[in-house]
Amino acid sequence: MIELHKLKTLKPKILHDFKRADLEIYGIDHFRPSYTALVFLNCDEKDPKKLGPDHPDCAGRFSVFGHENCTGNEGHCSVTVPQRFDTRRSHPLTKAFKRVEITHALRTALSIRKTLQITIMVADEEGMAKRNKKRSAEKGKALFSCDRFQVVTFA
Amino acid sequence: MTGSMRYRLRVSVPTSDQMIKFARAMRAIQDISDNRRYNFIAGIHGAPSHYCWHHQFSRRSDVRAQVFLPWHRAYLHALDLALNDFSDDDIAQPWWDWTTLRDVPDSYSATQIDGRDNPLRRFRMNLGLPNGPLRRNTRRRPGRNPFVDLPTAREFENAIDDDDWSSFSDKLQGLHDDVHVWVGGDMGSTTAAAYDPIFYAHHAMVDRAWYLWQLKHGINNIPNALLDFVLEPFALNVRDVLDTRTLGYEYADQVIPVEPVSPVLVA
Repeated sequence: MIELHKLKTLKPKILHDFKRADLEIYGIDHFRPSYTALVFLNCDEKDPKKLGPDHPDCAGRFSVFGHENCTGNEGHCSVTVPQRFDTRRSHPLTKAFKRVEITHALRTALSIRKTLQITIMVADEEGMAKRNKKRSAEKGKALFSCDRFQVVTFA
Repeated sequence: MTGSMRYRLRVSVPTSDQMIKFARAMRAIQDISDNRRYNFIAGIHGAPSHYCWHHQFSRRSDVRAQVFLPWHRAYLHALDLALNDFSDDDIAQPWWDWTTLRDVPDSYSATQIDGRDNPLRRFRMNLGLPNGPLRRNTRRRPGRNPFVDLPTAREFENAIDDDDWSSFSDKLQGLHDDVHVWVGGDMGSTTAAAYDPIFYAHHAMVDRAWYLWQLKHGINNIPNALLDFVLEPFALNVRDVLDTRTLGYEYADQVIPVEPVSPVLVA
């Protein structure tokens, strides 16, 4: 399975030159099969088949080590709200955080145009969707979903 | 060797003395059926116990609880102890350097080691779960994700060079995730990954990266707020696992035994 996610175009005002830039991704749902995502900046390629890790607009990648299926009873994989006096660590399915270093790619992208569009392309293991057709708890959901993104530059 | 430091060495060929001794110890804990067994240890990480620490946070602190590395160090240490309970030889887990060995190592894919079924190739999981038992051999599907390859030496060095704990930990966890996805099959599932014996060779490489980072940036280089985190279910906290020497091991490239000889009288 391969998915394409195009984020809303930004008009970033970079106030200072930067030594490093990261794309931070918050709230990643990892109650999914494992997958790898490629991050593209200002990619105009119309044919997704031509996109891959070696494409010149590819800024980086991240992988998500997923919880493929629920192995418990009902509610086992529901992320719980802490009770009062609850010192236990958070639920194993607490949403994940990832950062992808995009320093060179961001510098290149912004030297060509003033807008920034981030595209994320996601692939899981070949044939996995078919194998998990019956058991996958998250049938019909996108592989990749998250709460928010931000680009952070470091002077 | 008892009483000395154990040296974790890179994965060697199936016919090597190192891998034969390691395989014998792995076979010993795979063949028993009580709570010292491999199936029990593997079940600490994913199903049924789900103790592994990847993205959780602590309710005791606002600091993002990056204890992925300390937790897995404690976990590997638990396996070390179990293996040595069942071996007269001194057993240290090998590490798979995926930056140079760009495929599943022969010692983990060969059908036999030491003239018997290879216990590093696969393991028969035996789990009773609410939605049905999981009783089958572990499986791998290496290289079946088109977007990921094994991390390169450059990516590895880039992580080691990062002097910020938080950033380093994130980068290394990212490379770790890449390897899980690349190996695929059960290694690609948090639930079942630790049942595949290659899990531990992969994690020894991840732990070695932290060890190398610590040599470069300081053994105690970690936020104070993390030091007292308890690494459940082990009787260890983060502070206890910072120095591998206090756990009895280090990472080396080679150990060359030298036989003692009788002294020669020179004067």
